[in-house]
Amino acid sequence: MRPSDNPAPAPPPDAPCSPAHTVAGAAAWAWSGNADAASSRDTVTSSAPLGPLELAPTAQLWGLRAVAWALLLLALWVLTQVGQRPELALGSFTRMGPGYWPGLLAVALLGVALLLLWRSHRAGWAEAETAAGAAETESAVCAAAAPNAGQPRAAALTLAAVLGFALLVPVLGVALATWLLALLAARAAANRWPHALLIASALSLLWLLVFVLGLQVPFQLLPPALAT
Amino acid sequence: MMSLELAWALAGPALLGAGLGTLVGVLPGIGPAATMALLLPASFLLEPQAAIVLLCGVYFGAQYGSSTTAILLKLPGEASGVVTAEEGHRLALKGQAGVALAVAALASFLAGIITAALVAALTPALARLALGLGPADVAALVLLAAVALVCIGQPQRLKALAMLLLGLMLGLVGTDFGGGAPRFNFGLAELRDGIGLVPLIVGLFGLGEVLASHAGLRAGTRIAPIGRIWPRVSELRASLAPALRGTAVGALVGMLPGGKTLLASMMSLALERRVARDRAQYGHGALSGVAGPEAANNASAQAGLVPLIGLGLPGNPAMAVLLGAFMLHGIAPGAVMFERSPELFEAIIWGMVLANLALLVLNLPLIGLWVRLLALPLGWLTPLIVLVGVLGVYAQSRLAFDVALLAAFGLLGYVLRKADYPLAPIVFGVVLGPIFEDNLRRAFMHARGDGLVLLAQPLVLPAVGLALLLLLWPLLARWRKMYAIQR
Repeated sequence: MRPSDNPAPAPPPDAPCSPAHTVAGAAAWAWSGNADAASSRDTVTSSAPLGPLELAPTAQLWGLRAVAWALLLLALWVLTQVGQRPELALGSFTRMGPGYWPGLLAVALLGVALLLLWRSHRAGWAEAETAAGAAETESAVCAAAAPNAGQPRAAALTLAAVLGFALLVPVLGVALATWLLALLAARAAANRWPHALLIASALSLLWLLVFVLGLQVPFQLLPPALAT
Repeated sequence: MMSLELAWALAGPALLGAGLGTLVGVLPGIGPAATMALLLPASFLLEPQAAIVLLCGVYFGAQYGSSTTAILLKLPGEASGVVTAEEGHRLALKGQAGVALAVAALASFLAGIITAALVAALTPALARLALGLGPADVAALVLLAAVALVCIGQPQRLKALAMLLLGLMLGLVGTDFGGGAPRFNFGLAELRDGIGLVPLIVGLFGLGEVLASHAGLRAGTRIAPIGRIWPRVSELRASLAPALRGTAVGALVGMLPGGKTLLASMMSLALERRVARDRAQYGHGALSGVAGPEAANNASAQAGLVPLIGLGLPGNPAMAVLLGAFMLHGIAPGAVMFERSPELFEAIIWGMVLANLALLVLNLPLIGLWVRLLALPLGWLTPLIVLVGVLGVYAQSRLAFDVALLAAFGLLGYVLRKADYPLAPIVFGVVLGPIFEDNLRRAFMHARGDGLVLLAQPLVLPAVGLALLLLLWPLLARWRKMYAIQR
């Protein structure tokens, strides 16, 4: 194949990913602004050579905290369940009841979530010690998963399509629900409506043929109301 | 020896898996674990051995495929190709892309065959060792594997630990097998047997990855000319030793829990740089810098089967998905599998050999074809993947509930990916949590409540000690550093 076979609209991938694609790197970057605390930890400043940033690390840090808070709530909820429900009796370490293991896990998760939150608010992650190594390994992966805009909307639409399939399949039957799913997923993948219609029709037909004729899965294709 | 019948039965899945694996290896944006996850429901319709071989083929194929785009475009479709890109792409810029690709494929093949033999030799021995273990030993081993997964090769161990705990909690849902009481199933009949492994894995790895990489699948970069493919004898001779060293490094790393293929490639490149007679070559396109890492990533991918099949302990996301496949087919990897269906293991080994053969054929003469695939109309790809995932999950149980669960785990996978949490520990927790709890409770029951008796079990002290050491290592290292500074 000659190189001219393939026009090159995308930028050359030579630019190295910055270490900010990892949270360790991102945290190191974010906190290096808080100079006094960060620079007192020699590891943070010396081991993470920070290049130009392509991706705002704050979004990742925000996500990190959001997940940690969710885990915290989950742990608390499980703890209250174990405390309240009689069928989740604790027992003892040597004679564990059905509630012992969940309770143990909840306590551990509570601790880890608190530690995550504390560390994310403190200057410099302990993990920043490995930032250099982490950046080297993980930033490599970001070459494959390039950052892009407009993504949350596309993700939300795709997710809605999948959830829609789950809700509609008992009513509409598999054929129609699949077509709708394909249509929304195709639209989410940045296709215009006419193009999305074409893709959806072709793909849903193809897959229904594969599943029903090829793999002999007994699907309820038509809407159940019509079939009876 | 392999019977013709077996070879015939395995050739199809091996070829299909190898082809799909190469494809995802070439295409950036979707990784092998995600592809394996998406194929999981479909593989349910196959014989167990064919299903496992198919999924293995995908994983190995991704290692081969990623080298193609790594060398030609410096844009690896899979993490482990990054290391190959270093020297490989420089070779391509010098007009030696073809040779680099051929050496990469041949080194991977050599590593694949050697590692298949290694897996065949080591795994049954490991399983036999595991046969005499009591519940306390099993619990201790699972604990060690979990700690190792969280600590080794994990840049952010606290987050990995959080994900492990989340997985263990998800594993609570269902029925308490000790007393049979329902536990955390929210009164839903669909959750009585626990959270479905298929929607969980397909959601976290498959759908989650699609959502996170939406429109991130891109192609159409400048492709270096391939040029002469078949290497000269001198080039082959120069690549043999690096490939063998890479195989050794890769196999070792692969057998460790948490051993990622990327780690193996990086270690191999570092080793080659150190032993190279002509170090000046490095940075300007060294063929040994392709042969070593490529052998290493393939070897480590395949060596991951040793702890998985021998003990049922997965070391990385792809192995976690494969463990899910074993469970779905009602096979518990480990000693029991060797007793009940020894032919399955034999089939897997031959499947590995066949997949490697198929990959050599797919990658050497057909390289141009894969590269052309990068020009694929990508607007088709994500809807295609979403349909495969949703219809696969729905076909497997025919429960709309499972599709809703798929959406929920897809969302979870998306959020966790964006917040940069590792996902493999979740699957590890879901699958091994119940096993751990069961064994721990039985251990205490056997000991009649006397915890000290358990310490006398052969594996308990070493395994728990090693786990503690791994957990506390960073603390110890920090103390040592502080001590050194004070002096």
